[in-house]
Amino acid sequence: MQTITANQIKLMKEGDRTIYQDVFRLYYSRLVVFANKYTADLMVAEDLVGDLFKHIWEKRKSLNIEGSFESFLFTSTKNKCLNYLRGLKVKDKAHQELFLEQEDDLTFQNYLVEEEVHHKIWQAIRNLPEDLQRIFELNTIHQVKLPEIAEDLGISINTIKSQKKRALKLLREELGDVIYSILLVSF
Amino acid sequence: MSIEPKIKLLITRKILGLGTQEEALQIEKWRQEDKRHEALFQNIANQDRLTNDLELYEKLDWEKAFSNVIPPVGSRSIRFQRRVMQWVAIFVFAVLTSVSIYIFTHLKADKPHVAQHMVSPGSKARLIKSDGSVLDLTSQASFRFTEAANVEVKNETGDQIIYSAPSDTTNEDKGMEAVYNTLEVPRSGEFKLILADGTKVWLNSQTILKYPVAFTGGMRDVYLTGEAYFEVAKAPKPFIVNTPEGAVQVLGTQFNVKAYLEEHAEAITLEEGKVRVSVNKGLFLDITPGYQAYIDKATRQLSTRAVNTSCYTGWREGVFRFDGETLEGVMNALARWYDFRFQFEQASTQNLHFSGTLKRYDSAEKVFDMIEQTANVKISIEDEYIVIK
Repeated sequence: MQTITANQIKLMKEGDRTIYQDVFRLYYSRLVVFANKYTADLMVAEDLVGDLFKHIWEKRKSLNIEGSFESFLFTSTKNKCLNYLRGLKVKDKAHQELFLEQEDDLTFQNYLVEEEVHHKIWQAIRNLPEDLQRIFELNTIHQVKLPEIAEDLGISINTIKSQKKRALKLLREELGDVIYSILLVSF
Repeated sequence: MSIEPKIKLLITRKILGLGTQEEALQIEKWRQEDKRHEALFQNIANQDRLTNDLELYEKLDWEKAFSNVIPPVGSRSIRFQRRVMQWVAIFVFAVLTSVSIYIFTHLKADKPHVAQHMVSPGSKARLIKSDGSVLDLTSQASFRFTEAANVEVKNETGDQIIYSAPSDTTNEDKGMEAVYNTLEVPRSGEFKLILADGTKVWLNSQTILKYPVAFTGGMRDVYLTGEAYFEVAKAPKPFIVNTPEGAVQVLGTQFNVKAYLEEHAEAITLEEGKVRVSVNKGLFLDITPGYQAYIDKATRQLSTRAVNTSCYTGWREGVFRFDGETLEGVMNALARWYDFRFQFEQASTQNLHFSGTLKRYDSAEKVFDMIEQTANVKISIEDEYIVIK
């Protein structure tokens, strides 16, 4: 898993737009999905994350980040979400409750983990060869039974079964044995 | 409470179908050792939340978003342009308003007949109880009474009505037939309802909802004509919204149902959860958040499409949100809320597109002004109709 190096941050502060684009590419979708858990409104989530990146770029010279850049991004996004919820024209109790429910740190940690796991799953599926992706996703995520997939796609059940086997094999290689993976630096 | 990287990996493997027996036991142990772990696991493994996120990762376009955040060197950012347009529109509107008010006042003195009086919309409804008696909720500030099966009905704030079943729900009395109440919301009205199971329903103008007072029996069945937004309480019994053309079956979720008799189609827009939409002939489709199921009355076809859900659910937050809607569609929505009839001078004007957000509690005149200025039409309030030129 890629992380932002101190050198990259230095270059960014100096105005390297390409580096910033890399950061954006790595984190934009993840932050929007994360923000969406707070806002339950995709458009707002996109706006908030866009604003954050814009703000960081505009204030890049005076940027001073303690700890990991990734933590900084997620924490800043959370704060923007909570500010947004706080500021909603509270005409009905539903919004008030939504805000109060999500204000605590436990929610923050939960959403972080949820996003991380879901993203990892998405990446794992996307890294599969194209012909395997759809079948695997239908069967594993959407819980569609293999015979049904075979019928829908007009492919023999044996082909489907062997494709699933291939997919599982590739995924095992990527996500490895548990013991093996602990040795990796970051999850 | 921080989560070990190991557990995250185990859960990921489990969801992908890679987990071993031993890993499953480890996850079980982790889940049981703390209630918060269990809650977290429920979220991560929840199929709806997972598929929703997967869909988002798939469809979010970072490149497009990036060009809005930091414009390519040499070109203006689209967002900046849009912002400028908003300011220009507001400024133009301000100028235009003062001009139109002047003309209107001036003309009023000359014309002998008076234009129709525009109704002020708000919380209005009629409740038809199980015994057939009718209660006008518009004028009632608050009340409380008991319905069949000891269900208590109350209206405290004047804009919503709450049903509470007695705490001992031993009214799983199979012998008892469901007792219904009907809530009718007129044009220019809106109302909120909380059913005995905790389900919240927002009703838009010109809407009738028939619902059981208490949820005995194996299903939760309600009948809708008009438009309502549902926040269905989670319960083992399926919740079914029956409309003139079909039915929507849910398990615990948030969605909008638009089923007006005079419109060409019924639309079910999903914000959270999962629903199964069926047409009366037996065809059905499952939809996920961000999608809308669409029943075309002419062809009896059931289809789905991705939509901007806030356009369909904005009304319960006090706004009309339109995204490329035809002027005819816009006027239909406004006519129900402000309670007027309208006519287009030229048929082609109906197909002009309008995008924007209007506040429901703004006066009709103000709303018409905004449309006039954005859509380049003239709206005049005549005796019987609103005329659009």
